[in-house]
Amino acid sequence: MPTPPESMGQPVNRVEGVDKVTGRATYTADVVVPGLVYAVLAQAEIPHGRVIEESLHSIADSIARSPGVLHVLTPLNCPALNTLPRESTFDLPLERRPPLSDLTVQYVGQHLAMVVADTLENATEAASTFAVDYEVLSAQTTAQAVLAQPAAPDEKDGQIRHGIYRPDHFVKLEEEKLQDQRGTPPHPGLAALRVDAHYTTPMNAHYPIELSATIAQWDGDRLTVHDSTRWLAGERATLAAYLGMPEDRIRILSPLVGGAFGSKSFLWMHVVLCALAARAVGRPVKVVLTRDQMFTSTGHRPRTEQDVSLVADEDGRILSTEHHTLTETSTVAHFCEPAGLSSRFLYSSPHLAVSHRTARIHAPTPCFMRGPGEAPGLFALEVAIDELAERADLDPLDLRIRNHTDTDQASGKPFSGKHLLQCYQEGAQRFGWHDRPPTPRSLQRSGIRIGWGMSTATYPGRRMPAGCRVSTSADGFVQFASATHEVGNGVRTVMTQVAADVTGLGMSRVSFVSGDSHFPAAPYSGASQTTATVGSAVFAAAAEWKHRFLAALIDDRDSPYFGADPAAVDIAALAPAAAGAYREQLSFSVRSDTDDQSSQAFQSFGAHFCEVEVDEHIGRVTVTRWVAVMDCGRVLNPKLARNQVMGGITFGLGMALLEQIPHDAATALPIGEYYLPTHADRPEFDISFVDHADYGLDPIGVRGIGEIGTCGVPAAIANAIHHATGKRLRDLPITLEDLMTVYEPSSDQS
Amino acid sequence: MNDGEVAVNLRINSESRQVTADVRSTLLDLLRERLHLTGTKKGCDHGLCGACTVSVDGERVLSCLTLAASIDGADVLTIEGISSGNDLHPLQEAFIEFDGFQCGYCTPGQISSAHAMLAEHQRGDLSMVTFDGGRDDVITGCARLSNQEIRERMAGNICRCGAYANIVEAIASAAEAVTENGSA
Repeated sequence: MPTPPESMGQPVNRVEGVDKVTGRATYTADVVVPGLVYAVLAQAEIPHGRVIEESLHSIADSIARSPGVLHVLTPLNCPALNTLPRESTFDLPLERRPPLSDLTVQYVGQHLAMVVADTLENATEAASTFAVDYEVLSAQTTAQAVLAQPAAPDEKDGQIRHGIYRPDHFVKLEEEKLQDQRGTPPHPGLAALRVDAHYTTPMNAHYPIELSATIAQWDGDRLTVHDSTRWLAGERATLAAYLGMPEDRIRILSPLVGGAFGSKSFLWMHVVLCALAARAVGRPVKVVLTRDQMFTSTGHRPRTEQDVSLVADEDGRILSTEHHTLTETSTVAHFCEPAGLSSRFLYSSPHLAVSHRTARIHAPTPCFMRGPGEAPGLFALEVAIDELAERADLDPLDLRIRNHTDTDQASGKPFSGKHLLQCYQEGAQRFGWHDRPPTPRSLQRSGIRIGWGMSTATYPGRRMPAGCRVSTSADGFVQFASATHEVGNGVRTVMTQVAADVTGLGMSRVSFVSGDSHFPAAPYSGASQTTATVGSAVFAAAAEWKHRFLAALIDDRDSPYFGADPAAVDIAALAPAAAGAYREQLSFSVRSDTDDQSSQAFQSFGAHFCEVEVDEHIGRVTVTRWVAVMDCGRVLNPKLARNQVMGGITFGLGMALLEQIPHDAATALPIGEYYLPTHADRPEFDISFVDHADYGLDPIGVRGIGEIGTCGVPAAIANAIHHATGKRLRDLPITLEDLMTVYEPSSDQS
Repeated sequence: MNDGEVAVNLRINSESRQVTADVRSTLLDLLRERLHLTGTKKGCDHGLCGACTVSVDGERVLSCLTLAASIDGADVLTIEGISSGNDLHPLQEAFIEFDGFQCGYCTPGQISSAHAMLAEHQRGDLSMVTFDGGRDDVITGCARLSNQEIRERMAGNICRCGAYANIVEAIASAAEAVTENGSA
């Protein structure tokens, strides 16, 4: 048998593809557990106040008597949960206040009760009768409202906090400074051009099509939780902390995850409530959030208001960049949408001032959402750049090239591999950008206005430590296992490719499994780091496997390779069962730590070019054509990589034109629906990769592709709409109303 | 039978089933929670996302908006019944080959919807896009299933991962395979 072809770099189909097209693929809510009963949540309908205890008693009693109801968990009978350690809540969006721990209401959608019944129908009907009386307190539901008043003192030992704060850095990443300055303001004599503009982005929902689901089951003092999570290790630690039990008595299983996009990461409150309910009824309990509950109880992207000022000399060289963000979190958790991070390094700028302020409002807790920071932040920066190009009378691509830099100005380090100029050049050529007339409103097709826009994309390359367990079976098949998660990122496929190539066994004789906290730990599936992180662990495990196997063959008197040169051994030519003979030596675990990352900055880049059609009579915008060229390190599977980037662009298209969680300002209640891109809404795609391996971050040369597709997309669309219509629209989403209003040239100079 | 329950006779994936259903139960919850046919997915439970699409008497329906008690005697086709044994349907083959999914959660609904949609097209159903074409298309029901037609006819199935272009390519390719080999 010849050596199997290298699978890395090839468009390999997904290894779980057959399961996914036949309905056999198992997601959390599909897990069949004997004796299962059903829980449904009831939630607060005011943003701030206090539940009248008598009314809660009365309704809980009434629900407890409803048909089939087994248990009603409320703040009145909820077992006391421990508070989480400070390292969980100080800079991560885990709520400081345990669920059902008091009668105050801090946001619409706060859980007030979990109803458990024998059937889903009985639980749903009983929970639907939940209604309590409130002492209503005045609510601050916007950052502006918080700014307008002095901050109230902390409550409940700081579990509930108010006012505005300025976080130092993003989550646990100290180098990602949220308050940053360098240089001195430019000399007024040089500052020929400037843009000062205000941009806003709304609350966005991740909207994974899989609803968050949990099944909790106790066996004595051991707890098994099936959960649609993308952070097994964090969820186990958090559950252990809440419940005051050792982590080794908790097992978390996350079979396949039906999309996450930043949600499903932290232990949202329904998970621990489900565990409590299962203990109370002595049976396994399943809870599946409703679509409405997904908006309030699994995180969202918070609103931002961003002020960007760019100052340039008469040739369009940027002298100063200022990017000041005001965003929002809840009163019970910390999160800061880090919108200004990319402005620190994307373009050469001797002077810089970046700041972030976070207002604690009476709204649900936000969290990461695909491209946290970059998605809203590059909307502001990249539209501002387009505005500066207009002032400078330069093509927007030329202005970007003039301000290109190969050094990360935020850290002073060189980038490990930056090929942005190549992305610009190839993208422009593929799109036909050089035929773009500079003046807005100059392209038309049968009465429809056409516009071309572009933007730069960027997202960090990240890697964290991870483990991998290797098990070799008697028949010589080798399984690689890591407590990562298949969220649609293709991790099972790509890890199988890495294992196949590094062992030399080929894809048919290796497999990769994920989704069990008993496997060696891996970090959350987020920050576009999974391939670099878990891939490094699988690479190390597969290399160790090969090393051990060759050593065993050469040491074994009965082996045809006894005493041979290791280079002469053709692993693929051996019978599949050959490795099985050494299965004990060939079953082991490795942990891959990050290499020294101190000398270089790891950052991916890309360029987006798009065309829009705007029908001003009916206010309709259609994105018709999209060219993206990405510089994300080595591409291990072009089929899956293209799909990821295409999905990222579609995600950004939704953010640009459709998506916002609509609220009634008076009641803070969500109203209406959340619009998403459909089959009918997406452009024709031309997606490519410059494909330069980056071995500085990891041994397989990758930098991650999960998020960069989204970054810059809303700006490219807004810039194209400006080119089509002359309208500079700085508030997302850009809607029909914005496009139907009559074009007035003067409004452009605001 | 208890109060609030009703006997429902269904043929599900060519198999006759008599089940006792809660009158409040949707077809989706009946399939998933009672019959453990969990291939059909719940994505919104109110008819927005299409993840729960199945066929009832050959027509695609949203099983989350279909009360089980309302379809007594019906023939139901779910994702589990689209392949014959281990032989995948051309649509399923094409979804794998064209990578018409990422997380895979909307996929059973996309495939079920496409399966019924191809039958709609074959019998001459029109879509809004058909009216952008010629007079003949409107009269005869557009012989060729263009990508624009597929996009319009599949717009009720949301894929948040954004694999839309691959899904359309998969359906177009499978439509050709199905046409070449007679009906699906």
